[in-house]
Amino acid sequence: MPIVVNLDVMMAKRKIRSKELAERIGITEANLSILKTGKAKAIRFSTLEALCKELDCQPADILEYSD
Amino acid sequence: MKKINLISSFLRLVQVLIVLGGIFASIFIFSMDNGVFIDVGDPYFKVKSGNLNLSENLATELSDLLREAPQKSDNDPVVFHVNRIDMSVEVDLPFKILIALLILITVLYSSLIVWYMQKIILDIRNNDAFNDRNIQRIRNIGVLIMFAPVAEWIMQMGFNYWFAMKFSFPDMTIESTKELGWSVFIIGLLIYTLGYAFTEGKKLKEEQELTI
Repeated sequence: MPIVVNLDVMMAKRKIRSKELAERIGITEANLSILKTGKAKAIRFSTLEALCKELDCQPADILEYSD
Repeated sequence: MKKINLISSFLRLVQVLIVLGGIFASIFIFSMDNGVFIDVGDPYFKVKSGNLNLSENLATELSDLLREAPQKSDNDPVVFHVNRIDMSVEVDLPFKILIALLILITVLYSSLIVWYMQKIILDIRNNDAFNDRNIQRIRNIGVLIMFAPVAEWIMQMGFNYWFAMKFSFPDMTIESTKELGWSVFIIGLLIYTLGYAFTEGKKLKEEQELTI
């Protein structure tokens, strides 16, 4: 898939675990795992907004386009 | 959900009635004495004849049952419209076995459709309506319903052939007016098509589940 999710990189930089991040943004750990592994088909703006807020970053830090 | 539960309960009742009906019908058939005659209902037959004398003879002998169709000319065949034909067949062991077999096929056919419907409803109650199993079940129900009028028509043609062999006279033909049940066939086709709608539903559901 051309869209690469660099969520695990940001989580490592901010030193936050999956369980804690999932609880803070209001999604299940399973869904967070789906997002991290690139299996997600789509992401809601509300979820992206919550991620950026918790990880103190920009959407481009989490999502990358690569051919 | 209440309506789904009502439908589910209704289907369970139908299932029980189908099986009980088959059992009682079989018991009834096998309890009949050999040698008695039973009516088999009035099939749809039309008697045609090109022999005017034969027509007149029949009209005289069967005046209570037949009425003459208007004749266009002396050479035109006369068509009798028979208001009612009563047929009786003698009950014997082969006949009982045949009827029991037909009852069994009918019970199995009906039970299969009801069972598929129950499984679909169960999945709906578990919020898992759009899956491969239900897609296949809906298609199977559609095929079974499409097949019913075709099977009935084939059986009727076979019966008509047997009837014509048994009751053939010179210059007389017996034709059946039984037609294929197109409305039931189209309903089956519609149900089969719904399977494709469920396929799209499954795709949407998967996309929805993988939308974070």
